[in-house]
Amino acid sequence: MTVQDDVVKVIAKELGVEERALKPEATFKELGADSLDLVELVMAFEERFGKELAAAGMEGIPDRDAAKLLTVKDAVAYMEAVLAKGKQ
Amino acid sequence: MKPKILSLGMAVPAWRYSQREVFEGLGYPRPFWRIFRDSGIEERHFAVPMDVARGLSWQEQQERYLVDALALSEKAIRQCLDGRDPKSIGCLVYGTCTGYPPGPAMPHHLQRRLGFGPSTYYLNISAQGCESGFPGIKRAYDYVVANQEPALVVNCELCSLTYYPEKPNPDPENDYECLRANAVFADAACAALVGFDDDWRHPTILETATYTDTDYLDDLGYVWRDGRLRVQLSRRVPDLAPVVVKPAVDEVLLRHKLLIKDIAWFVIHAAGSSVLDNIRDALGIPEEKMKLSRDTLAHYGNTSSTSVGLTGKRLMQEQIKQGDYMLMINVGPGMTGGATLGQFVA
Repeated sequence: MTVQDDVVKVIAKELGVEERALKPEATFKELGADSLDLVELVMAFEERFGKELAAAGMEGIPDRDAAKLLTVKDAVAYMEAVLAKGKQ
Repeated sequence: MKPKILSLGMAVPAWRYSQREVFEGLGYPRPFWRIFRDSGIEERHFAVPMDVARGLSWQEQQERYLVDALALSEKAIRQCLDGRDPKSIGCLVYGTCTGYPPGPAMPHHLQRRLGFGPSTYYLNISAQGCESGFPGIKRAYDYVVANQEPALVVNCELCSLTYYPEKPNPDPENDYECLRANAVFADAACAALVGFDDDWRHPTILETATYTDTDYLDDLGYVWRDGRLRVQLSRRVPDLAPVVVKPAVDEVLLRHKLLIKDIAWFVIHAAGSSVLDNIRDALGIPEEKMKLSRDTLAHYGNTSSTSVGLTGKRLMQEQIKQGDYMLMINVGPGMTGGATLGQFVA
């Protein structure tokens, strides 16, 4: 499983959409997410990637970072960066 | 001759909190800050300190309502009367959805404090939520037309005294309805004097219209839970607001052959930033004309039925021109929309 697979799985579950419908450029807003869905999505990322965030020295996804996660691609890139940071 | 709004008064309680302070005081998990941050609110006022409000039983909340709402309403009324004799008031309409004094009603208590005449007619509007300023103004209008005596419309909402302790905090079972309410609601009182004079700066009430769609009965309001009121505030309220507001607005404009672009001033219930956005988009209101309502939201939060009074009060200090039209827009449970068209003419 790649980071991308995991991120897509989390998004599909939280937003109630099929994984194959999740194109990288799709914005969460287009996928029907409101502000509360986005909060839950960030919390779901934190839960799924808790160990990876801790390894990168992060307690969670900071608010200023969360605000920049607008698309599926953004979320995948962000979690990949967190993983890379944790491995350094 | 049609009745006019002669004067407005407003009062907010002493406890002022930034949106960040409210969020931290409630102890919600950090990611939920986004909901508070994006609400369009910077600060809010509460009648009781947050730590006290959180520990009150339903009865204690309601006992505090009587004390604090009387003090706040008195302040707003005195400012509104501005030296006028309380005995000149023929009718007082009091609206709230956050306090349920078992009786005597709030107007009776206000008579004792302010000295309204013994023949003043009182009406208590309860449970019509954020929208109750509309039936208040409408009732005052009707009274003034029928009796040729001034009428006072008073609204006081102490939303902080309907705090519901969530277990767990926040409660996903309730679709975070309490959390969303806690992110926006606040306390205030306002008073409006309706009557006749020949000052063009006091807007004449030209027309009113209301529209209720009971398909959305369960989307907004309160329910009893564990001996308390628990808020109902569905996620689709921002989408539904224009659905009930637009027919009422269209009706008042049509009767006067006006378009949205003819309206100089908008006084819109400052429910939240997305409600304001959606009403703006549905009616085609330019963003610059949203400023008064957005400022109310930023500095006072959603003060329920009093919010239009707070915005109206500030409108009176704007650079109004003779002949300008104004439109007041209310929205609340039912769901119901209300529109009041006014014009600044002698």
